[in-house]
Amino acid sequence: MLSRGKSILVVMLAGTLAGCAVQLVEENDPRIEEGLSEYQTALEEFRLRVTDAYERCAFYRGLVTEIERRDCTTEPRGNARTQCEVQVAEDLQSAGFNRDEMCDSASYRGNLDGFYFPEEARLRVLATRARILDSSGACALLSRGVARLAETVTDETIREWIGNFEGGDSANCTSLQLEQLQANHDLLRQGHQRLDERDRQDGSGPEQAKAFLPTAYETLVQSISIALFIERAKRRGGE
Amino acid sequence: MSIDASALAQQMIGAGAQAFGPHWQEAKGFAKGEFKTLARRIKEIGRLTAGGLDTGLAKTLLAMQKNVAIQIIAGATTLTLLAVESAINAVLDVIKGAVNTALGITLL
Repeated sequence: MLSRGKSILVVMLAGTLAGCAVQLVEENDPRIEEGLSEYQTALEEFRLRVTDAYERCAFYRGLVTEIERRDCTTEPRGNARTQCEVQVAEDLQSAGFNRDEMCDSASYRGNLDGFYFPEEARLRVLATRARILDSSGACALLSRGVARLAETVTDETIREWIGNFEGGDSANCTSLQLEQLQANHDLLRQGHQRLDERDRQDGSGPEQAKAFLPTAYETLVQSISIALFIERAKRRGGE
Repeated sequence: MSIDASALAQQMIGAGAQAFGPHWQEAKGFAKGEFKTLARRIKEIGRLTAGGLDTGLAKTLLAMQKNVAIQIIAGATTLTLLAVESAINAVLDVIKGAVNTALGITLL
């Protein structure tokens, strides 16, 4: 038999422990996992569509330049050359090359409704959902980690951008993950806008896209993978 | 922009080890792999810039890497907290078992 004192202690301890297990990290949310996978599917479709459209746009432009140079430069300037160029354009169109269609489907404007707007909305909803699920949460070690990174890395550019980071104490780690992914989606959008600008300036859109898009895409895939990995790690007890 | 990807990855991993102290073990495997990927990509951006990538686009790509770096640290934080949570609950389970055994009934 336990003494009266010990019994009280046991009952008090029971009161402390009886509730449930300690939880330091918000719950796994299957909707967030689904949303991230859906976003990745949309990103893959976007990449395939836009890469193909830029390639066809560049091919068309090259072809037009080549045909014009070959067929029309021998014509005297004036009506004869214009007629020649019109004929070339008609020939290309009748052969199935539609410049506007090919180059527009590669452009930023051509992807607003099909990708940027709906996917931005999706990511916003997911970030809001994560915030609401644990509105009082904080990603406490984040500021410390970022500060240490800024002190340690020697490259000046990287030090500067890491050093400007503020946050971490105001949101839980899950919503921070989703906000960074959302920010990267927005940067892809800004980069695509810049590609349109370069295309208008000097026609280098397809060439610049060839360098920019694969790296931007890989970065977004890493962003998604990290968010998914962490969300799955929150499945306690192998749910 | 000439960047040594390997040195950069080591610097980032070292920073993580210092910031997370004794809890670094829980997040180490995850953070190391992700920081290495990040460092390789930053080097690639340097190569693309030298090859004529528009400066505005290069800056955009670098800004994206910053966001990934923050994701890695936030992820390491989550993994660390999950490990601490698991340790606390394991201790509580032991206490529960001891109390229940002492009482001879399932109180907790």
